[in-house]
Amino acid sequence: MLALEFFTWWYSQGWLKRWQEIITYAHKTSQAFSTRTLVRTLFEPWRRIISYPGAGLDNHLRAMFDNLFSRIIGFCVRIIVITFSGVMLVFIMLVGISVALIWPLIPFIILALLIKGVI
Amino acid sequence: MQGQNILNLKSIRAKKAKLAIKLTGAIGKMFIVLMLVFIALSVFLFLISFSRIAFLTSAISLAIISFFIWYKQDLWVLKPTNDSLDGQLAKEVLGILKEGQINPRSVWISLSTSWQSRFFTNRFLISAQLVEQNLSSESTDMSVVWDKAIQLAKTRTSPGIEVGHVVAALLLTSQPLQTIFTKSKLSKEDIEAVLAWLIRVVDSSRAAKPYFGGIGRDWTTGFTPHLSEFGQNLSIVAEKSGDHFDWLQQTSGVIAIKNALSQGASGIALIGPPGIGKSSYIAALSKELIQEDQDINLRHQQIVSLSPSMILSRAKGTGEIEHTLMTIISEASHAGHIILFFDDAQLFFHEGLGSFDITQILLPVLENSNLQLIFAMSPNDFQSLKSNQSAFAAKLTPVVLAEPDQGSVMRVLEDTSLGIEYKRGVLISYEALYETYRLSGRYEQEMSFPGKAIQLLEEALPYANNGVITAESVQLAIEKTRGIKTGSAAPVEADELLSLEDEIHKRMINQSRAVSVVANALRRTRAGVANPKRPIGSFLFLGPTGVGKTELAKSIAATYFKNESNIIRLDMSEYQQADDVKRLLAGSDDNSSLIMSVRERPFSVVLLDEIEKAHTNVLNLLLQLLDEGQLTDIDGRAASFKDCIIIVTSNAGSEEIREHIAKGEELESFQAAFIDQLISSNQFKPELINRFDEIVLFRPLNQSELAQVVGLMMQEVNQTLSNQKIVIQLTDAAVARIVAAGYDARLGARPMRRVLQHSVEDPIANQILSGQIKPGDHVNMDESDLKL
Repeated sequence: MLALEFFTWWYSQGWLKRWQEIITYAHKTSQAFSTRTLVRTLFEPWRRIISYPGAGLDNHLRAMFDNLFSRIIGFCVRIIVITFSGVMLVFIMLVGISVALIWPLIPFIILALLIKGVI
Repeated sequence: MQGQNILNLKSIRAKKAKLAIKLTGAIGKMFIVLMLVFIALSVFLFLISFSRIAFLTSAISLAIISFFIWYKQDLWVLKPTNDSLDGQLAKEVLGILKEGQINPRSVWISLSTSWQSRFFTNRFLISAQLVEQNLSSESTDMSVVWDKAIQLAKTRTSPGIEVGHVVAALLLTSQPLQTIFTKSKLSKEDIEAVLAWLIRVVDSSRAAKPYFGGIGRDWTTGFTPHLSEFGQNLSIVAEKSGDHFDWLQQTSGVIAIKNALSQGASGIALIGPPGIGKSSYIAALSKELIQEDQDINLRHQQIVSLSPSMILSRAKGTGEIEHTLMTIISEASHAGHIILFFDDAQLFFHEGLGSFDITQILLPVLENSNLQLIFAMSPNDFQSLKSNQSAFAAKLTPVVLAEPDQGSVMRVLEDTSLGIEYKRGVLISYEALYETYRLSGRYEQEMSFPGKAIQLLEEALPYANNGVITAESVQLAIEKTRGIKTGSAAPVEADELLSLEDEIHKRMINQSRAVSVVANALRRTRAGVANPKRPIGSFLFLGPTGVGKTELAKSIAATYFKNESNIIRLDMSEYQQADDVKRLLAGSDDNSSLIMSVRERPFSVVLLDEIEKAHTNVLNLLLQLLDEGQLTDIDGRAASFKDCIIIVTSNAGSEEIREHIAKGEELESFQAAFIDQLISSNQFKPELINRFDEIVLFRPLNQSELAQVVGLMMQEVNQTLSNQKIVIQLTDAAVARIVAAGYDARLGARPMRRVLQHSVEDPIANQILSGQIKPGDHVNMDESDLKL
């Protein structure tokens, strides 16, 4: 009876869970890398390091350059992390989809391995 | 409902539960080891090209992995399936019950090793064997237990029936156990309260970890090096510290602060008395704000608590303090995600920072900056701020915290006790927690709940008995720290109470009825019959001067509070003006006021002499004192009189009492008419008379009683001379002579002491000094030896 329960679960909730897990892990990856926050703040200065312009054109230009530099730094760091999280996301989805696709075949794989080992 | 109570232990779910339980612990670990061994073996065999066996071991490895996934994701989780009993029972119950006869006793035996069962036995300090012995072994009794368990689970909206629900149902449905609990002063509500506590622990252990924002959370906010040096980031602490007091997030206090912050309030005054938990509310808020699912204005905001002592220790002089504060505020404002919290804000305003006025810096911040500030302070400090810095106070949004109710205080104590148990390696019983709540509420007036309850619980730790904090430990703590008996009377003390009249009569002559009335009232209180919200006892002593009213008050202090000096005596003739009430209610400015005296010595006899001379306002105050057992000082702080015995004396109607006694009437026979007369003649208002527990009439002393008074006074003289081993003895004639000289119909026994001093003590003193009386002498004094 329990064996039947095992197979029932394997081809119903178990298989469904594999697909659900792809979304869960993708979401967790996105959370761990703060992807949403990083995209939203992509062009913001790095750690709010900004200069306030003083009097004169020179100071204005210097402040503008400083702030632009801070934004570039911020952009670079964020884009690197976003890219890395994207790669991770793709990897996780590929692995997840592969597992979900192979999942129904696993009992047969076990059987095949057994047969191959015996014969 | 009845149909749901059939337990099918052969159901698929029951079998899954049994398998899951079997695989926990050592077997489960062996299973994992086996899986790893087979995986390693397969890899090894493939590497050495032993492929045929490698295929076999791979098949076994894959089978074990598949089974392991099934175990973790289906068997271990085993969610409730349907409304049948076995569909609702948690696997920890279903998997452990054995087929065959299912009855309350067998179910308990199966479940008694579970931590949830031990949670109950530990909290109630009962043994598993005792529970087992008092549970039915009839399988027909199980239906009621299941019914109760289902009801308990549904009441708490639990998804399934946990071990705790079943154990609570067993305890609640067993009549013999209920009798045992009742004897231990525990009720069904206590069992349900412990169940609620247990389920909270279970839910907390299963709750998903909140999301705090990931690695990029703080990349859009500024650096705060100075702020980090002088403040503590409560949000980071809350992020790491788990779920301590998370439930405070749902309280009106935290919601009110959050709403104020969300609406852009630049400054919030968090107002509550000491001990109410202002810091805990902010800690709960810190954890909530730093999470992702927040209002966009508040998401990932971090609360940093500033330390005035740290600022003072680093900065030298007013200028440097100002500079440090400006730097901190500037950093916090620039960072964009900081809310500054000023705990004990009054320290910043007028104490901790010396003469420097921080509001000069903070006012522009409140007016112009987007930085949000929270100031925690007591109601008095807020009032003081409003008086002294009205412009600054006007900028603050007040959030007033109300003292939590009993349920919330118990919840705080329950959560706190788990932490204390873990840190100190002790066990705290539920009864101890309740006693902590009860006694701290009664005896601690300086702090608010729940702080005062937590403080008392910590004070009880040194009084643990074999590592267990019981109700007695808490009573002992309060007895040692505040000097009062709080528990039920111990055997010796019970004897003392029963013979209270004898004890008092060792110091008092006659007045048997007065002594008896007072003793009965005190016994009622000590036995727990009297109203605990009022003073221990309140008595109006009526009678002529010198009949023993004050002496009885002193005797009560000596016998009940074990110390004659535990008496607070006020001459009410000094309170004849309307404004004199202020002197009685003066706060910390006047240590001699009634309020301050009671705060200093809460366990005392309060003796108010000659009440008829006091102003009406004072009498109104007395009404409140007798009704509520407390008075509030002019600073708004309450002082409890619940551990005092209030004795009010009056000479009103003395002549009438003397006339009645002279006619040979007994006190009982004319007391009612006498009191009516006092009311009708406007000497006392009926509402005041009715507030007293007892009206005690004192009769004038006759000659023979006065002779006994002389005997008592002589005992005191001999007690004084006992160091020199000198004993003075008066003949009957000498005593009669002293009584005749000292008796005054108007003053009773009062002149007697003076006469004794002149007639006995003076000549004895002279003879000792002249060497006529030597140490060890036994002196007999006759009438002729007296110096009258």
